[in-house]
Amino acid sequence: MTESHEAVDLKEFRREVRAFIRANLPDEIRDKVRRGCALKKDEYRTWERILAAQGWLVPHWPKEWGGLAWSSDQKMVLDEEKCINDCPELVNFPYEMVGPMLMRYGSEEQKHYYLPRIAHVEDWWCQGYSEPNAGSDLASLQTSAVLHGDHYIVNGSKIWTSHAQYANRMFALVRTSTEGKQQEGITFLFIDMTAPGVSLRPIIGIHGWHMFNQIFFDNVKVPVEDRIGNENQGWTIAKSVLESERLNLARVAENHRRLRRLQWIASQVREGGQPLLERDWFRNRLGELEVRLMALEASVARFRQQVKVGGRLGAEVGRLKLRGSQLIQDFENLTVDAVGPQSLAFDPDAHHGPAEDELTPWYAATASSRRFVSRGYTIAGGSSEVQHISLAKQVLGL
Amino acid sequence: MSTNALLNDDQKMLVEGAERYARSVYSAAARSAAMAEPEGFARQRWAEFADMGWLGLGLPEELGGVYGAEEVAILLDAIGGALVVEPFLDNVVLCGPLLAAHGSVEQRALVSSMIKGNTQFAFAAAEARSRYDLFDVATTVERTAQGFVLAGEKHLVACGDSADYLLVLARDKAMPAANARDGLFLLLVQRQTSGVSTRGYRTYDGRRCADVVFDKVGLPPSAMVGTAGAAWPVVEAACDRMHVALAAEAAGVMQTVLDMTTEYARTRKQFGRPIVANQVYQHRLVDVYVHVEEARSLALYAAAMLEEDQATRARWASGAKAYVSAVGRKVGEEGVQLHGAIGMTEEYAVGGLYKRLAAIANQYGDAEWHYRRIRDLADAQAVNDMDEVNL
Repeated sequence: MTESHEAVDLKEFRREVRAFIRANLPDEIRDKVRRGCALKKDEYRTWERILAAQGWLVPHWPKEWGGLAWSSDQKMVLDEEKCINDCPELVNFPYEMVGPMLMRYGSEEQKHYYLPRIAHVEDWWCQGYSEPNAGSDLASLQTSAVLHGDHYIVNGSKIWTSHAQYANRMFALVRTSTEGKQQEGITFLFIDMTAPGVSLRPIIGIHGWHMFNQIFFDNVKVPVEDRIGNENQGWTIAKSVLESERLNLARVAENHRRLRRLQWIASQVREGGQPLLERDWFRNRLGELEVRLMALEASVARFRQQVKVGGRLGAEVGRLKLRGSQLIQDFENLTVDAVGPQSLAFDPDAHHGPAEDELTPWYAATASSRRFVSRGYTIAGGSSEVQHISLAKQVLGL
Repeated sequence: MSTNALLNDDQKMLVEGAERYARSVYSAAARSAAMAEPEGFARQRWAEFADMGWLGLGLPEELGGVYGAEEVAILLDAIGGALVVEPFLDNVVLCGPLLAAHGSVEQRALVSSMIKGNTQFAFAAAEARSRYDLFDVATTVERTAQGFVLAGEKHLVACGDSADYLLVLARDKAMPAANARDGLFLLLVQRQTSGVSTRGYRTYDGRRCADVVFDKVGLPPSAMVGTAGAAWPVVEAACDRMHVALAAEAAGVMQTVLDMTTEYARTRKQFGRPIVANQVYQHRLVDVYVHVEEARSLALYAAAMLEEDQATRARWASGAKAYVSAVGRKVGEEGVQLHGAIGMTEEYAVGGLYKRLAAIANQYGDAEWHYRRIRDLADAQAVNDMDEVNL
């Protein structure tokens, strides 16, 4: 596979990537993704292993850790093609965050133990950041870790943890000091989710699915060798990881996927004897969303150009998260509006895949649920309000 | 701003020169003086544009031009806030490149003269009936033994009563289907030709336009531009350049609204503190900022797409114009609102910026017109195929 940083013909490369995905993504998985169904753990794992066998699970990692040292352009093309070709939306923490963070801050032992395990799909990782009283104000987190000999004793609770029911590993921020600034008393730990004292409460989302979890830690022993970096360095580590993939927060490919799906639905649904796609009201609303998507695409292109000429990305990138997440929601709402009154029928079975005797056409069955899920896009990962605050302060200097 | 990191040295010089010119020469007073001229703009300023090389931007080197579409966008962004009233867009963006690409040797020589500042063109396509569909014209051209006879009435022709030449879109009289895209001709007509009459007026954004009547105007065969009956694709491409240019100009106007409003909100005190201390002002200014940067990103991207295939070019040009039509006007409204009553006055500059953004919104296609065009382009591809993707 192509490895060089320069001189890769991206158009040709894109064709190559697309051909591989179409040939190797199992039909039943693609179909479920297209329908907007929930995937099972083994379906995620199947696809991750297919990618891993091709070297495309972590192609952006350096070769010494099992990567292909791809350029950011190549990685972007792969991510876009995975998205628009209906691949499962992977839980990317291990590949995008945990791995790069270990390479930068991990000990030799940690790197040699964890990096191959990540590249070979051995563990399922979940993120332990948010707490019941620490959401947007993450630095106020309270889950405590107290050093006792060669172990930390962890007590407290994490919440809004996606897919934790599948996870055997958590990367977590915990409080190791209450002195000084809040940010300076936080430590980064890897926690074994199967350890005694870890328990889990499922949280059902407004759309009716098991979506989040709350995790409780009751005197959980974490070996000191599962601390990443130094004690009280956790905030710095977490921040540096957040900065690495911020251009993806525009969600350009995810929006494209929704645009294409919506166009397809609108070509099937009829109103006044016409396909919806030919109705003026629909064309206007779809056109408006398309233009906003173009604005995002052009913005990402400009930021990427800035990086290429050696510029640094500052807080101004926050506008991508702000607009990308709103656009996802507006595509989801227009999808529901396209489906129309049929979107009210609630069929829990349809959420798990094709079934006999479906209540509504397949595209109608998950439209409402997907729309409800999408409300989270402007809440998670720095809410729209927090984005406004940070842009006002850091970019406009207000 | 971060924009400058992406400019090469020539482009930086262009921007710095434009900003210096806007500060030192093209002041609000100079603009008012230009508007008071009988032609609605200042010949002195036009000569300065020529001296600075602006009139050749994006035009072929052999005619005296320099650089490309990206530089046109960069200049318009930089100078947008000065609200120049001279017919830069009509000459440099619309008629100049069209004539350079499709004109005869004599017509191309006129482009050289335009670049030097000695000739001006006006684009006489729209009629009252057309709204934004410029192919929908009733002006007719009849082929005769001597050449052509042109008859009809054009509307809202920028600088139509002062330009040396009018570039007229007319329909073949032998093919009278009023709103067809074929059978269209472009003719380059000297304004001071017998049978051409004009009625000039101002537009609310400080520009000058005219309605132009062609009363059976006899023209030589050499008046025709390009191929008989095949003018539409040429006009469409020229309009796409205009869409991008208007988007770039709007980005510059919007930036000035943002800068001015931010500054005002910092200094204006109410309830014992600057109004910008209120989070509602901060967040609305952030939304304006995001609009400005998205408009600029789109304009620059669309400029880079102008030489691509027709569908790509049109999609991005329409995207950029649709965005500033919808959002530019909104930014102008926010500028007035966040200023408060002072923003309502003729004297205070934010009103002029708002009016220009409002005017742009209804020129060369409003937001909905461009949304529909984007959808028409998408329909031309196989959108009902779930496997079809266009990244």
